[in-house]
Amino acid sequence: MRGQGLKRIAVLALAMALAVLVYVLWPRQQPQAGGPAFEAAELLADEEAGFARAVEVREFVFPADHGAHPDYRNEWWYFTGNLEDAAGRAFGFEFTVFRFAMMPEPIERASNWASRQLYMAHFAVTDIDGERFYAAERFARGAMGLAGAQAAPFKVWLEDWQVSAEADEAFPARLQAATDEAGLDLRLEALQPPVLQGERGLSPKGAGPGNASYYFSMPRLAAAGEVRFGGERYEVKGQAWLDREWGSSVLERGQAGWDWFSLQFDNGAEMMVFQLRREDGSTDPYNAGMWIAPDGSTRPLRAQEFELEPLATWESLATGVEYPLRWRLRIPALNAELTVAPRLENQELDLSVRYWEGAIEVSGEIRNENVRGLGYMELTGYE
Amino acid sequence: MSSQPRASLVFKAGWRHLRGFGLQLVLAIVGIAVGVAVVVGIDLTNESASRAFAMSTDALMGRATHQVVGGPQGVPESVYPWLRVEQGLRDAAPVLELSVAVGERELTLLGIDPFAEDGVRGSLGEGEFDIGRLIAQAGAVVLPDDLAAELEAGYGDRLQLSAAGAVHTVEVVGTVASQPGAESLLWADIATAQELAGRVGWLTRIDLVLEPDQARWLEAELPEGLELIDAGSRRQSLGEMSRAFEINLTALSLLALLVGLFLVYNTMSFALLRRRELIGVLRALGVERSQLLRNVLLEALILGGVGTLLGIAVGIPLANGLLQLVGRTLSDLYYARSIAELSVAPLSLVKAVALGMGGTLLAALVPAYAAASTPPRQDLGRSALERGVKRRLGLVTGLGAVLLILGALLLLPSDALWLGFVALFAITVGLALLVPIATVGFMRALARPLGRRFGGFGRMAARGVVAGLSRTGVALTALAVAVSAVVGMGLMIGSFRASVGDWLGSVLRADYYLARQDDAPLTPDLIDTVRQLPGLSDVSLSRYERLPQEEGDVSLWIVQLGEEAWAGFQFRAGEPNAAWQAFQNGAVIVTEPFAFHHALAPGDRLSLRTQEGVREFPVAGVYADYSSDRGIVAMAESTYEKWFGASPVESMGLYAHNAARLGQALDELKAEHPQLQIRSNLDLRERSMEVFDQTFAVTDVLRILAALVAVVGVFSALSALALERAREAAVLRALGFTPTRLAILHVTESGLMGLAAGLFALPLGIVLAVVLIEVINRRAFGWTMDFALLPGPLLDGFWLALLSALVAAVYPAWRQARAVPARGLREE
Repeated sequence: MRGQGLKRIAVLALAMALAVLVYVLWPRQQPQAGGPAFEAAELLADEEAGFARAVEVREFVFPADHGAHPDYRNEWWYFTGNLEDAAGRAFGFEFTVFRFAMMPEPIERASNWASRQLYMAHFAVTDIDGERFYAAERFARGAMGLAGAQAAPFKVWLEDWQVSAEADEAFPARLQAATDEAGLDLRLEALQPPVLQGERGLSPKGAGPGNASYYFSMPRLAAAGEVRFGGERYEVKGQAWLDREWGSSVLERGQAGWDWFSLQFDNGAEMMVFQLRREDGSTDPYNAGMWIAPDGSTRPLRAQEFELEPLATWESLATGVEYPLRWRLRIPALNAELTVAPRLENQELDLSVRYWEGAIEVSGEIRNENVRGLGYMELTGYE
Repeated sequence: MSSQPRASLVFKAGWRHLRGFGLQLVLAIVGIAVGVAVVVGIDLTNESASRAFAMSTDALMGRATHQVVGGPQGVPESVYPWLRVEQGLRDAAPVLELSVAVGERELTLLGIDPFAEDGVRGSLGEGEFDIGRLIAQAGAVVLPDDLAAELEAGYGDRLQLSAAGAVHTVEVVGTVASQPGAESLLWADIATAQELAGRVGWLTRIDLVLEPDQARWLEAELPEGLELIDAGSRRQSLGEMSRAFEINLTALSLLALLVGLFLVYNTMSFALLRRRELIGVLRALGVERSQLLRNVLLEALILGGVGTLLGIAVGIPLANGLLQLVGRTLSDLYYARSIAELSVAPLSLVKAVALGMGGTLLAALVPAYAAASTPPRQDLGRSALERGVKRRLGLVTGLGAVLLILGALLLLPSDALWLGFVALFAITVGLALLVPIATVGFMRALARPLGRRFGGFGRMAARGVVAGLSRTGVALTALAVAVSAVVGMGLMIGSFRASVGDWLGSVLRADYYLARQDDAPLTPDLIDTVRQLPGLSDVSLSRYERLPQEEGDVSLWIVQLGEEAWAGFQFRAGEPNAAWQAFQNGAVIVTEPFAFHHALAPGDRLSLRTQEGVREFPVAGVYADYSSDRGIVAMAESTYEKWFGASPVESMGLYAHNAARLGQALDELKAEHPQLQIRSNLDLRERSMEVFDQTFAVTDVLRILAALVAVVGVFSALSALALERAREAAVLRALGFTPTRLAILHVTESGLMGLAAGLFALPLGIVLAVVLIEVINRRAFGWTMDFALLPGPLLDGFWLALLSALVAAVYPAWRQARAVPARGLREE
């Protein structure tokens, strides 16, 4: 049986050779390139020192305040709206340009590329009936014409995504944003003058001095144009909302995120409310809102004047995050009880910042009158 | 009798036999292992080099399908927003490339827009860095992890970075995962790069990912002076750069393979020779032929398997060592900055296994078949075997002659490099097959004079070699081939070196050369100052520039020359005086490799993209140059200015009428301008030769390896021979030979073998060198060099052969001399 032994050795030798080969050839992990190497959240996490701060009430001047406020650390132009084509097919959209100042002081450098301003833009469209949602984001520096914001003529852009005035006035303006997958091309016309939020435009977000932002809204813009999903084009009409905010603060310690609602009622009234969610679940004293009656008169809503109660949550399949998508909003002072529901559950933007922002519908009673309406809801800080 | 016990018997017999000759077993395995190791080593080195090359190309170009390039200045930056914002081409990434240094470490700084990287290059990959500071802060850089570790720099640390003739303080604002092939890259924002480079307003290029129709459209729309080039063809031309280098290594690896196969054959035929009696007995016992054949082959498989494993185990670290040498050469010669990582390519290992196992099997097949097909008992007589070998000698000689003629025919004029290699291989094998017959002739011729000088003893030694041809023939051939490789490479490199030295002597005419240490342009003030120096008779001004073209960059040498400098050019084609006139009037002259790669001859026209679009330049001459294997185009400064704009001067050649005074004045100048680098003619020549020697350091190592293979082969052959002749030795002892005399006889015998191998290796080596110089190098690089029959490599080869044979003989001779004669006589 020695011959068997020799054969065994031969087999063993082959097996060893194979084992060595397998070991050497085993695919090992190679570092993969790709994906943004930074998170937009980091853009917000910098030192606050040296930036201009929203400390006191200021005079808002238009069109200047449609443009950028470069000495404040962050700023945004936040367009949202609900649209419908002639056949009644409903759509929602969001187009936001964010500006982040990286340094408090203007920089003096030889290169035209040098800039302390970074821009980020988010673009999302919702095909409510088709149950489709699409979101994309872009980054660019505020130099070389790649991105920027200017007051007169009004234009805010990131590459070829832009909102620009048709003429001297900021509005009517044209909003254009497109990728290969989806596109938006709308003409926006102001139906109301700007509404200053908070205390004459100063919107406190926490106790610290300057822990606030300057905040105004254009609560009703008539929108008309085209929505595109892939190769399908829809001629649409509807109403949009612009939120403009700038400041240098971020969430305070203990604040986990915020829930924000913009509501446009059929009777011509609008409402904005936001709540800052505290980690311990308590009501933040800086929650606030604004009631804009059909005649345009405004009434600020203080934290203790309204109550937001989540009714049902939805868990994102993509990220596993649970968002409260149905809410009850009670405002005793207005004798209002409203129910807010998403027009489509999946309107989560899983971008460098993850949040839910989407088209909603609202119904209920205000001052004993039945009301219905559409709007947008933003839910941030959920994990 | 069932076949089972028979099989067992044969195995047992074979195994016992092998075990009984532990040394033989070890040598057999070592022989295979060394052959495999050299092939694996070179192959892996080649693979890693080309992979590293591809990866650094990728790191630089990413997914880009096209590039927008401009003239010498680059691309105006405004083109980028035009592309990206107005035309909406979002897969566009701008880059400004810059050579920088941190201390002694030379690096490439890539100025990028971090937001544009994603779709195109993904340069920054995974990592942590402060994007805000990277963009907003002047002098912010991002390092790959490895480089950060090497420079001992982390987040927030400052580095002194020299770029474009100035030293800047930069700050590390993050590190990213090191990517293979990008070890010597660091990143900055475009803004920082422009500021460091002093090139505000310019980009080196814009990389794009385009669909074919987009590319066609863009080509038509691009502003004047810019061009859209296909990244694929560019990538390819970058690849060709490294391919030329790989070819040289491949030639060496093929040679190693050849020697390795010889060794395996050698080893296996010995193992079987040793056993011819045993085989005869087994056959007589009724063991079938096929059974015998199978078992011998299985044995070979085991030997081959173990040898291959060992060979791979040794080959990988060997490749690592070679890679360091090759890496330096590649980063000296080419664009790829460094090769840090050995990549073990599956194919290389498959090749190694095929060679080790397959080669062993194949090498064993011939002796195994011969052994198995001899009728029973006949095997017991060795003389029969030797007679068989002599019959085969005719066959081998005939085959050798045919191969030689075939090889010579294949050398017929052609540009095909692979044909050159086939010819080289055929000639080598052909000549190798002629070694046995030459040995017979040589030994017969030697027997008479040796007999006269040393009597019967001398004759015995010479005839002993011939008589043992079945074993000595292969060993001799292996030794001769290995030594001829050493000689051939040595002669080729020596000739190359002599040509380069000659060329340097001719082209380096100026007494001093002056440039800035960082290759930044010399200021007009400085040039004026230099012109006023005492002792100076003439100056030449020059600058190198990489001109991006569709087929890859063209190295442009912009010169302002005097007649004296012109006289230094060695023209390979074109008449120098006429070329001088034409050169002054807008023609260019090109180096030999450039003419070769672009198929240019005097009178042809060369298209170059200038500031004003593509222009054709007449080629006035082809001159010798060994500084770049890709080739160089030399252009008069006046011509350059006309088509490309002003040319800053980077280096000056200074011609002295009073060298001593000029030298003194330059010393003073250097004291005033420490950033200047002033080299004397001699100094520059020496440094150039240093670079040359460094380039060929890897071939030196391979020559040593080839020699090692030869020594192992000879040692294995001789110790086998000694074992084999134990009985003969015992007879001689019994006849009254003293142990010392016996040892001398055997050492003399192997000395004669070494002498023969050494002598045969010389013509073989010369032929190899001639083929390498006249065919391989010319077809691979377009270089012509003068063949120089240098005594050095010839003597080296001769001594190597003789000494390795003598050294290899010492141990077996010593063993044999100590053997007890009676035991040897009782062998059966």
